[in-house]
Amino acid sequence: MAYDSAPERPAGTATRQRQPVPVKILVAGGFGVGKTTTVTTASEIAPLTTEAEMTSVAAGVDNNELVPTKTTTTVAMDFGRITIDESIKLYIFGTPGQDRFGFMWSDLAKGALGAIVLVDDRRLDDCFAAVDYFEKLGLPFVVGINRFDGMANHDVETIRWALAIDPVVPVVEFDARSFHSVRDAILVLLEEALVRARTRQAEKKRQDADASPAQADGAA
Amino acid sequence: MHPDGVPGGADDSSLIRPFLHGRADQDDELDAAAATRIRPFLVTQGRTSGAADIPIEAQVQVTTAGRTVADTLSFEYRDVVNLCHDPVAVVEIAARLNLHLGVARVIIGDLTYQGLVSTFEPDVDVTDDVETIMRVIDGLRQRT
Repeated sequence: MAYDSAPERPAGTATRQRQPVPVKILVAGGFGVGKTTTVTTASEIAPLTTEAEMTSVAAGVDNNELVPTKTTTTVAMDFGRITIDESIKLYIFGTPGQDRFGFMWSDLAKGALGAIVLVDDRRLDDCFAAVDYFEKLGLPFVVGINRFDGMANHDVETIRWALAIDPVVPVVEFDARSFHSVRDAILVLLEEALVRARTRQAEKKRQDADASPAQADGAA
Repeated sequence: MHPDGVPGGADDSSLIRPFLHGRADQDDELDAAAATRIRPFLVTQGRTSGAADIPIEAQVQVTTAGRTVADTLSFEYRDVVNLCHDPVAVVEIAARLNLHLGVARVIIGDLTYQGLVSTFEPDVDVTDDVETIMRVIDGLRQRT
């Protein structure tokens, strides 16, 4: 009753200018590869978890169907945050999902600057689904090899070969427990995102330049 | 008044009773169907959509109107309003209040519609925003 008559819209718009811009990146990979550790290390707050509906696409090796079967499951999603400055907040989402599932994380991927795909070099195939997904989506990603135990079963070049990723996709070795290490991996990703954004901006400018003479012709 | 009490009521009761009976059956079915629909989303009165397109990282902040009426709201709505004195992400509201993300979205959608919170969604495609990305990079570099 009270809220029907109150003039809220102006109040809502008045606060808009002060609202921080949220940006996000994703941390993907198989089960037990260090997604939660990475989110925890990066985050300035204790990481949070929420339940969400995710549409999973069965993508196991035993699935020969041409049309994948979609199922909706409730999954837990970890995330953390870094306040960059008073106007930008960076959210880091650990993507849910298990080894044998592909995924359609439209909620997560939409508007994301990019993703770090974590690789356990003893179980390389666990990250294939994530690599496929981000390649299809055209989302910038870096492959992060979590060397938390100091062990290296495969060197970077072997892993790059095994994943069959584009040579421009960065592969970084890092320690998910070290803030500097995680931060540097995020920076590598953001540099990728920046290159893409600049390319698109340049394309757009060129298109605008191409379009404007045509407009002038139309006007004349 | 009672159907059985109507004099010479054989005809009357045959008219009334099946009607009553039928209606009772129908009600049972409706109740059962309604119950199964509502149960998981009791808080949102059975609605599962309506605000599903709010980005999970969108920032929510209480308005002056929201502050004023906070105490009159029902539990979850009040909790959301009380949590958002400073801008908070949709997903963070869900996590902090232990709400399913879908439920949080419906509540936030309602509160936004009623003008009790303002929801800020970045309207530019941030993935193409060179300046913002550069600021994130600079900000992160300064972190130790």
